Amino acid sequence: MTAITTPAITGRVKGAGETTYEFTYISPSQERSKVGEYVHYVHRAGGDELRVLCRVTAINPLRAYPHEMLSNPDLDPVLIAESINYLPEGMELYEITAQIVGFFDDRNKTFVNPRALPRTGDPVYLTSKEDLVRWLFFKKPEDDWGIDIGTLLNRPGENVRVVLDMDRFTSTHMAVLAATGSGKSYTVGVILEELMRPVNRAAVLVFDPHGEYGTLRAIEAHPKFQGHDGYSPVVRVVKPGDIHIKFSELAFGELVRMLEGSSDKMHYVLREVLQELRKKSPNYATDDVIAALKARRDVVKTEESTIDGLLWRLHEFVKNRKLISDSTHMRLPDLLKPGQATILDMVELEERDQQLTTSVLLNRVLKSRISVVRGMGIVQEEEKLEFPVFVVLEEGHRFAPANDDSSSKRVLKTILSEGRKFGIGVLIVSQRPAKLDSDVLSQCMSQIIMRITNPMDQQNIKNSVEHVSAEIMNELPGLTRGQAIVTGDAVTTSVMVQVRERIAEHGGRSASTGKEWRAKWKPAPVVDRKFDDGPGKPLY
Amino acid sequence: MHTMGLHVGTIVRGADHVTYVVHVMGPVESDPGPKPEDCSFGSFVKIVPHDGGSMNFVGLIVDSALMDRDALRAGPRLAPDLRSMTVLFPDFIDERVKLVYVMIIGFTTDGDARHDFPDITPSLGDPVIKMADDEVKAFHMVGGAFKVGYYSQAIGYKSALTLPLMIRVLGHLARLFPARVDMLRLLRNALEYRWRVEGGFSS
Repeated sequence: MTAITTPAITGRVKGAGETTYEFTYISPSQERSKVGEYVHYVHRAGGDELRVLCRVTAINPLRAYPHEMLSNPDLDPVLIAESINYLPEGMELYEITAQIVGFFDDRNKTFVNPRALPRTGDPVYLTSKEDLVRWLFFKKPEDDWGIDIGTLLNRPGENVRVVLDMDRFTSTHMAVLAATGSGKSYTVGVILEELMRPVNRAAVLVFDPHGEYGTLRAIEAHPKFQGHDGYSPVVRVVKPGDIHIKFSELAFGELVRMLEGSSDKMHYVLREVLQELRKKSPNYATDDVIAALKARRDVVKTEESTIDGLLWRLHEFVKNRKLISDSTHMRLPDLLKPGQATILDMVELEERDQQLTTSVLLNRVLKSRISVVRGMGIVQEEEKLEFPVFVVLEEGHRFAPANDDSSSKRVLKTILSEGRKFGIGVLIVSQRPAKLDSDVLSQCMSQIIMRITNPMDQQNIKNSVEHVSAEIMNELPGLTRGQAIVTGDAVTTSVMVQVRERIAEHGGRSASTGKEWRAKWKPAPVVDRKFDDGPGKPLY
Repeated sequence: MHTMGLHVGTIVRGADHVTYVVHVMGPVESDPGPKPEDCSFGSFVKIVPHDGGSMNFVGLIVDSALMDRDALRAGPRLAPDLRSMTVLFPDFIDERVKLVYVMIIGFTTDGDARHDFPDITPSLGDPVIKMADDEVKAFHMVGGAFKVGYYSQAIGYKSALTLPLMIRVLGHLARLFPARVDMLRLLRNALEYRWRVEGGFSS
């Protein structure tokens, strides 16, 4: 039998709530029963006393001031109430609604619903810090492979660390969803810092369309990130000019997508030419394709106009594109290695090039991991990644848009559905969940959701994320910058968190427009008005 | 016994634990007797117990009644008017009386006020004294703070006159406590609305 300590009683059960797993209790104070707070009651079953964790979802004051006392905004109703002995001290009373989370099953590390409501009059206890740490998180701050992202929002004075299980969210994927300015990239920065701690040493690739994560380099020399065995994290920032895609790495679909306005006949001809070239060598250049097309044009006269169109498009959309290279190659083992975070700074790339880069690299990562895990020789030895990898996609809606069939979305969907088997974890970040593909979102089994007010974004989260309850959705508009709800596989039940401070400086801080305007202001030049028409002349 | 102030009358009956019937002194019993405004509706009075304790009850005049036990008597009268009666029959007690109902809203002990009704009751015959404005002011300062602690009790008093009673009381207090005018006006406006608008349309 579990020994029951005697924690503080915060109220007494009144009765059933509106839904099956809700009940209400009466408390003389709302201090210990704030919305989101954790309380528990004791459920007796078969000689066992089980502590059933519940989350406070609503507070309803039972004794309120009459409207008349509030009718003069300049008068404090408290003073009026005191003067007429209304609501003297200690007369406050609240009806509090609590949602049952369940009792914690230590063996399976999960909550089990007792399927029974507490009895009327049963005491409701404020759950202790120790129980919260044990029940809510798979990891403690001192554990290896834990991601300490901040503290429990409801217990500001108790420093209850919110520690995510790295193994869980790196294998079943995570989404960070938040409106702009709510601390989304800051939170991702915190996660990246945690991933690079000496106890974790992750292999991370960040697709960074805004160039926000370069500041992470500060952790390289930071004492907190140095291991006793000589470990020191590496943060490699790949600048836009250094991002290249080798022409021969492009999948047929990716190449066709680049050739804007190309016809089905062009695709047919191109496919045949590429197949012939691949038979000779996997490393062919744009010029090889152009030469092969020209040779074919000389032979097959009926395809002349088709091939001309293809040649023009290859020149216009491929050969003149800086991103595409015939020789330069970004080696996967250079981009991904344990203890290294590679930031692909794509700030100067057009959106289609960002998609293309993501698509090509993710395809290569997927093939490499399949090759390693399945023991297949589908990639060259130098391309093999012998360890799990973690990919961060900022502006996820660009790479997996809801209403567009981009190449990056297809490979992303494959990774999200099958990546777990091959050791590829994905963190998708988006400020517009409504624009993010629902399937992609639903495949992320852990979520960090920050302030979101747009109803369409809220609806897409509701539709796509199975862990998110109506109560959590109600909390979203009320969150302030740096506050988040963590839900899904990485925690045992949804928690509200105050994200911790970054160790490295945050690179995504909003610029001060006023400051920049003032700095750039110059006195107006003196205008020589001698050729002016002079004042008073009408414009027309 | 502290009987400082104008003697309004004496308790002749207890209607319940907090409501007492007071026989207002007539011209035969007291000369000069209390004027009508001395025992007007909503006036503050104190009841000074005969036993001489330090506690005085504080009450509000919440209602009144007039009685003439000689009314409809058919027999002859020896004296034609009250003046002749007092000369011819000095021990005569006037059968025409004015009664007022006093609701106890608190008490004072050695000058300290409490806005609550006491466990003990006044006795029959206890004198009822009109409270001077200074006494009313002192009664409303409890522990150094302005209080109308009997507000809920008075509002809950079951009578058609409850609302106009408190409207008058709050008006009286507003004159005595100018610094509290805003708050007292707010309370009074709320009662006025209930009395004149809600009361007027609810029936």
